[in-house]
Amino acid sequence: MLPEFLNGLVNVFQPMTFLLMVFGTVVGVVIGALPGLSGSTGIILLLPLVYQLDAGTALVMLCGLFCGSMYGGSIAAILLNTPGTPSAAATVLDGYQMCKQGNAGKALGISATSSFLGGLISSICLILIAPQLAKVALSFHAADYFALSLFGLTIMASTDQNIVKGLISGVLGLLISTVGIDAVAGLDRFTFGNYQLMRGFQLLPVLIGVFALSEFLIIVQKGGEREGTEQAQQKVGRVIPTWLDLKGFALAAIVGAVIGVFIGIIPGTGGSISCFLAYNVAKKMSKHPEKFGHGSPEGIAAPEASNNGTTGGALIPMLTLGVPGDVVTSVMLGALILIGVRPGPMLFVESPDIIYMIFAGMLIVQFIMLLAGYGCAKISPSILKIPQTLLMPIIAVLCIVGAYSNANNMFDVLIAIVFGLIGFGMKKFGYPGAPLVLGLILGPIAEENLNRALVISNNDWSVFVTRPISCIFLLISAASIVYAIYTNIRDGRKELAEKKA
Amino acid sequence: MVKNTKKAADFLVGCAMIIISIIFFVAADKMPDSARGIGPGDYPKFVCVLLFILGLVQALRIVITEKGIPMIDWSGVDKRSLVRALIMFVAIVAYYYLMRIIGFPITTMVFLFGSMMFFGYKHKVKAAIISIVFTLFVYILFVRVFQVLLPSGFLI
Repeated sequence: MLPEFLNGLVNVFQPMTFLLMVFGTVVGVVIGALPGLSGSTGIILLLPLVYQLDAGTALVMLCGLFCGSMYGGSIAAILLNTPGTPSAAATVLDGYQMCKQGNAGKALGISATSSFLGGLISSICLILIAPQLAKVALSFHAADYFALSLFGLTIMASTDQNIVKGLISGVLGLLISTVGIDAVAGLDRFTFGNYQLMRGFQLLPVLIGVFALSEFLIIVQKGGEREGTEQAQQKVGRVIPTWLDLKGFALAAIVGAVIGVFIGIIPGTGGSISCFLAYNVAKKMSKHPEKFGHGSPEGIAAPEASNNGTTGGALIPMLTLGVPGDVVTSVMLGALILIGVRPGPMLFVESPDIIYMIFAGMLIVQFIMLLAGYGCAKISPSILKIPQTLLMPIIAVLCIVGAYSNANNMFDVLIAIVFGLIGFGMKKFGYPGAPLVLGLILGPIAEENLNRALVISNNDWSVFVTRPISCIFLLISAASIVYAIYTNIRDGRKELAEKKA
Repeated sequence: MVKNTKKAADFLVGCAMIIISIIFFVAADKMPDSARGIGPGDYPKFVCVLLFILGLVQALRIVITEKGIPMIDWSGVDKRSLVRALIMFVAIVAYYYLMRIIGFPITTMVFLFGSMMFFGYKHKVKAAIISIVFTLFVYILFVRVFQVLLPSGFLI
């Protein structure tokens, strides 16, 4: 393991790779800082560049963006009282209070340092856990893979507030994935006479539509300028925390990081859940719980460490099983497939160089992020002043160009636009986009392995329950669907009772 | 009749899922069977059944809790903001079609400038300069560096 890791380190320090990693991290911080744009949009905007790079370099750049955007979200949370990304929602509570007390720099410094600690702990967990999990996953059979695909989808769908909506989105993704030429028999499916659809719905245009163009339309609908930009403080002050400060919030950051890693590993959950959990735990553990909500350093450190803690955690199921841990990693998974890398246990056997480059990259990215964090904190009021009226049209054009560059095909642009409208409707009515994309990614894997498992077992369906791994995955999936229907009925009854009252 | 836009939308989505699943199921049912493993139509049929159940659960739940089919409450819908989004969507579609006719550079400049104005950016000269410079930057980056041929249109 050590020689491979050292080799990964050498690769990461290749000048071009290192430069792109710095670039990715800084772009991540800036994108994360701008409310309305998150890490997933950032990855989408960088996709045309990703095509031009080798897999390892592209990946470490995207890891930088992922980690950077997690920290970046706190900049708007602290200075504007609006989280830049959903993962920074808990940082608002104490971050903005500290900023109001005139300590914006201190708050940003705590945030950057805790993000660094969270990211570091999370990368170490990634390096230690992922290879072991991959070894287990190597023993998976076709039946297990089919069950795993269903498991990933149901878990991601069921973390949504309304599980049925999440499942509808995911199953619709599965259905969309069946459009095009079928991989087994070579038959045209659901193309309805359109030859362009024979390629099926390509992942990238759908990603661009659902995650980026839809966001653009939402912002257009809200209209005009971002609120509160004017109140962003001009002066940030000292950013780097003192030794005394560090001692005060280090424990909260470490606890937050560990919570983040575990939340990150569970597919479908991410920073937006872990940040509140970490905040609450840190409050209970703190010697000064009364300071929480009034600018407590621990109240910034815990959620910020935990959302960066999820980064490495979320990469674990994505790399070892091909099931992303959260929204950003599902977009990252899409990017990987586009450049011809299929994450899963075989990646550890076939391309260990890529895996260890990611491991080394994740570690180094944390240090870059720390420096970029301190640096960007100083100029953060100017970042927040970038007028949305200029930025959003530019992002829309980049989306169109990104969709086109997928295969130099205008039809892909049309798909992105159509899915932009679909994504807009989904956002408006509370249907999460991530399960749809995951369904599109996992659909072919599920079908292929379902077919393979049945061929091997001579069409004996019991293979899915007699194999323990498959059986466990299917049981959990079934349980989450039953639970979904149960909570739906229960909530419906509650509503009825409330109405009567 | 109850008026609740969100509930009405959920009900409509539920019904749409039922219809979509039936259409796809019928289409998948016509596909040939396979002797071993699954045929090309089997997996889509399985997905359609799942979608049908979910659509039914969603629609029925709304009907039961609302005691009837909810209607869209048009008075509560912010029409101005919806029209804004609609205009922008039409602009993007127009951008797409015009790009095929007169090419990427000109349409992009016009689209950028137009949408900046639409967004309410006040400095016209600045917006025009940014539109031109950004378009040229993207064009040169893609065509020269990434070797991606952006659409040049058949008229020019």
